Parts: sequence; C-alpha cells; structure tokens
Amino acid sequence: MSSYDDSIRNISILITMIIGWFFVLEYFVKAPAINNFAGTISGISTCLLGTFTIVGVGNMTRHHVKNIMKQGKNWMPSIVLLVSCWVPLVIGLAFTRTNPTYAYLYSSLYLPTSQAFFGILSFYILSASYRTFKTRSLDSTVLLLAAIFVMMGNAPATSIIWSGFSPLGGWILDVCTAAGVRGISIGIAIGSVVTALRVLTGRERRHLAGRE
Amino acid sequence: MIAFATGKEVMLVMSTIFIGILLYMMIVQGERKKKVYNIRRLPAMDAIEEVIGRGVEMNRPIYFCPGTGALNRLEATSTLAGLTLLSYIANMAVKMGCRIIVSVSKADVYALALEIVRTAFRLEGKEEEFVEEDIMFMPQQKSAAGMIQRENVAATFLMGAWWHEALVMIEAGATVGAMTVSGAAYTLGQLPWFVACSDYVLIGEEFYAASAYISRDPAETSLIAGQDYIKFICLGLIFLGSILATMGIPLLSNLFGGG
Repeated sequence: MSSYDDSIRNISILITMIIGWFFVLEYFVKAPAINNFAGTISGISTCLLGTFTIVGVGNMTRHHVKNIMKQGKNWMPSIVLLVSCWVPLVIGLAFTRTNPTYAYLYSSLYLPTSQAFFGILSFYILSASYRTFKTRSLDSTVLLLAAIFVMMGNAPATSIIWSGFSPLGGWILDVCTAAGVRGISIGIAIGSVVTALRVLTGRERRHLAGRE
Repeated sequence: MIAFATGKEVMLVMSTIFIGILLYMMIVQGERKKKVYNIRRLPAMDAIEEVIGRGVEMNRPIYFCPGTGALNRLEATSTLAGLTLLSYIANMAVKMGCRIIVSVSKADVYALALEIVRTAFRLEGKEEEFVEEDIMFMPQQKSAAGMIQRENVAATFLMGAWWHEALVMIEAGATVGAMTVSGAAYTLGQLPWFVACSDYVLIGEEFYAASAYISRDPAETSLIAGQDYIKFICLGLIFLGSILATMGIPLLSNLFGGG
C-alpha cells in the first residue's frame, strides 16, 4: 500500500478518535455549547452518509448497465431494476415526494412487492424449522422439546388437552431462556465496549482496509 | 456553564472503571509486558479456511455480507466487527484464488467494504483481477437471496447486525448447498436462527473477539482478558444484588436502576 493510502487512513483514524471521545464526553456533560456542537456534527455525518449513497447507487447502475450492454446473465431483470430505481428517483427529485405519480409508484408498486417479499419469510421459517428440529442429536432433541412446549403454551386451545402447557412454556421462556439471553447480553455489551475502545484508541484498522 | 448530566453518575463511574481496566490491560499487559493471553478455540474461525478451500475446489464463489446495520447507529460495533472479518476473509479468498461476492445495504458501509476488498487484491498483487461489480450495493439486503442462488455460491459468510433478512439469506444459501458461517451480536432475536441453521456460528462476544483471535496480538488478547475481568465484576454485582434483594435490601437494584 502506498504512503498516501496510509496517510489518508491515519487521518480517518485521528478524526474518528477525536469525534468519538468528544461524543463520549458529550454524553455525560450538560453544557448547551457542547451539546449543540454534537448536534451539528451529527447533522454533518447524516449529510455525509447521503453522499455515500451516490457511490452505492452509481456502482449498482454501472453494474446493471454493463450487464444490459453485453446481454449477460439475467440482463432483462437488470432493466427492471434500473427502471424501478431511477424512475421514482427522478420523479421524486423533480416533483418532490408529494407528486401523485411518485405516491402511486411508492404505495402501489414498492410497498406491495416489498411486503410480498417479506411474506416469503414464512416459508423460510418453515424450512428452517424443519431442518432445525430434525432430531439428530441430544441438543436438537432438547431444542425440539422446548419449542413444542413453548408453542403449545402459546396456543390457547392446548389448555384443553393439558393445563400445564401454558405455565411450562412460560417457565421455559422466563427462566431458561432469560438466563441464557442475559448471559449473552452481558457478553455482547462488554464486547461492544471493547470494540469501541479499539476504534477510539486507533488500534482497530481493519475496517479501514488497514493492517495492525 | 458545564455540569454533569443528572442520572448518569453511576454509569459514569462504572464506565470509568471498565475503561480503566481495559486501558490498563491493553497498555501495561499488552503493549509493555507483551503478554499474550490464551483465547479458547473458536471453531467458526478455524473453519473459515476450510470453507473458502471448498469454494476453490468446487470452482464456486463465496458470499460475504457485513449485516444490515449502519455505522452511525447502536449496531455500529457489530458492523465494524463484520468489516474486520471481511478484511480477513477477503485476504484469504484472494490468496487462495476464490472469487468473493459482497453485498452491502448501507452506503457508508459499502464504501468501506469496497476499499477492504480492493486492498486485499492489491496486497496480493492481483489488482487487475478485482471486479468492482462483485461488491454490490443492495439497499434491500434480503434481495441478496436471489443472487446467492443465481451465483450458486459455495459458502455464505453472514457477519454483522441482522434483522429478519438473516433467515432469508441463510435459507437461500441452504437451497444451493452452501455452507454458512455466521456471526451476530447486536440483534439477539436472530441468534436462534443462526445457531440452528448455520454450519458454524460466532455468538455474541465471540464475534467481537474474532479480531484478537486472528491477530494474536498481545494488546488485543489483553483486551479480551480485560473483558473477562469486567465480566467477573458484573457477575459479582449480580450475585451480591440477588442476595441483597432476597434479604429485602434493594440497594444495588436501586443504584443501577433495576427498580
């Protein structure tokens, strides 16, 4: 890597460290000047994120234009993608979001297709559950039994079969699951602090394509 | 006029103690004494090379996604940990000659992912083989499911902060016989699916420890040891708080806002 890349990376790390420690301080301090300045920096970061979108959309457009030009694999869906990306974008930018055409495209095309895709999740849950609950080992058997009791406990009609389903399912959730989840949560919280500290002390460089 | 924000005094004291412990471990134990602490085996990390090797043998690409979290939100540490692993996996894939496809849903993360993979190629002297289009920007990350199937990937690496799309992507990989190595921390709700459906998984703190596991750097392993000391303090407080609460003295639960 060139020294230019390293310099850019070092500047990025320095900015991260200064801004990061400032925000740590700002969280514990009540001073209008500091709190307002933090708000301004947050606003600037939001604007910067917006400009990154141009890079992302630009890459996506280039990829699909290339695919259409050479009539590569799945080039026709590439046309659909480009049209569905750029037509609402241009209409939204030119006539604002209140434009009826834009509103129609959003509420009658984007939302239904998005929700339909979300609906696919139920089928994936089914196939994942089938693979998970195949009793291949002691672990999966315990998982299967726990899942059965929790499901039966949550289904109202099962109380007719046995009144103990509901308390047993509740006990599994409130005691066994809660204990495990809290243990994992504590580990995650401390791990997050360690990762943040590595970034704030400039030790973590890999996310900037750097080396330790 | 500068004043401390009210209601955050306990958090300030605890944060100072915890950060103090971590800085002591990193600077004194790690950087000065060069002490390398042992980190227990993480099967998911050990399997990465084997999984990429499988991709090379089958002449199929591998797929990586650093989650759907942004860098300016609470899940930022998960995303950063995911990008750290992307750096490691991309380097290994380029070295072994395996094509790597990455999809990213957040624009800021996209810029970093692009640079990470480009650098991996550059470091191996294969910059001309880098295909920018393989690093895709997909604002709706779940749509990567179709791409996973079309590209017939040999492995999916799902490392970051996840919501409902996690299951869609794991199952899309499963339909083409791809191995799945996943890591998740921030969103606990998706962890059961990762554990149940992935071949290898990094759960919670393991995910954050991956960086130290890769480098075996004294300062990094010392931080992991510091993390364990903090965990012991937390366990001690929980134990003490439980005893006090049982005796009818809610001192610690009041102090930490537990009610």
